[in-house]
Amino acid sequence: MLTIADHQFSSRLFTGTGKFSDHNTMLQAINSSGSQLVTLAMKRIDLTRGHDNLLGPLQSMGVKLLPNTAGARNAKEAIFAAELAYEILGTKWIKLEIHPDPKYLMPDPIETLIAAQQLCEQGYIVMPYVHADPVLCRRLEEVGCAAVMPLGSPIGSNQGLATETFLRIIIEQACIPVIIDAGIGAPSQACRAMEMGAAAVLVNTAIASSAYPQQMAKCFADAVATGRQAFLAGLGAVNHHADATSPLTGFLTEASINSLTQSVNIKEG
Amino acid sequence: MTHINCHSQIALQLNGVEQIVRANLNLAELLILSDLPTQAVAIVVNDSVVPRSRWVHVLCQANDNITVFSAVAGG
Repeated sequence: MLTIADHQFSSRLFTGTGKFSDHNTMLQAINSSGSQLVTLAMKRIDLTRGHDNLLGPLQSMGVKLLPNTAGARNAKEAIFAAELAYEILGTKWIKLEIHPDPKYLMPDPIETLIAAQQLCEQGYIVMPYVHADPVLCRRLEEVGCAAVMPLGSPIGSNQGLATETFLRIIIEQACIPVIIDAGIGAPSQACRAMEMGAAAVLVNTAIASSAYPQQMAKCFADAVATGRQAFLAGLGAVNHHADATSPLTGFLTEASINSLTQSVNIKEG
Repeated sequence: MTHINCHSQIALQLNGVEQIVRANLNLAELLILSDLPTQAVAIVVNDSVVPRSRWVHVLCQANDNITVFSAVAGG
């Protein structure tokens, strides 16, 4: 079981709710994924378009909701978004994300640390989305974050674990759960993240943009479970040189080698 | 511009749209009159979040900038 703050999760696959073609497809995919933590965003209601109820079906599925601060460009806006989320959903869990750059959506580390510290002091369960920066992740842990969510590659890019070297350092150093967020584009990449010792992965685009999201969600669930089991079983060491899996001595005795040599000599003679 | 009621009236901004509402309207009433959901929403008046417990006590003022937020799909 994965424990974050005081909550336990039997599934280590967390999912986002964005980019699905419709709510029903999204709900089926989440159900198929087995995810117990799903992300949401906060938005001003558009008076001209009416309000569509996303929450009811999610709540009836029994998943825990993790609102995010997407759209915030600095710490002040992120803290405001967290207050909104608490008012709307009644939860102090918050996925802290501050990315002022719209092209690459790179998280702002300085504003993130400032916001994280203030939100932790206000009693929020803070899960910050950050670059795969081991130093920043340690600082976020020190100010009281419940988990860190370093990126594998840019949000929605499906490029996989481009930051693997640094993710490994973060995982090695962290005493809080490390959840690989953003960029995971294939079940094999989610499996690898789990084999590396990640506590969980968060996947959205790779499922939502699949031709068959429900099936893809199940593939991710299986991959995450397999990766976790492999991590627990303990991966073998990686060597630069070959290390035989079969015995190289004893099969051909000295006598049989001599016999073979004679046989070759007769044929060639 | 939307006319919601027509007694003693004030103008305010609701989610970026100018509205004319009756004076002494509280925030809870504003949601209902505007056909907005009353559950799982947050109300921000002039950049401050107003807790749900305060909605019936906070009256709309002329030129208020009121924004109602809800949860939407996101990653």
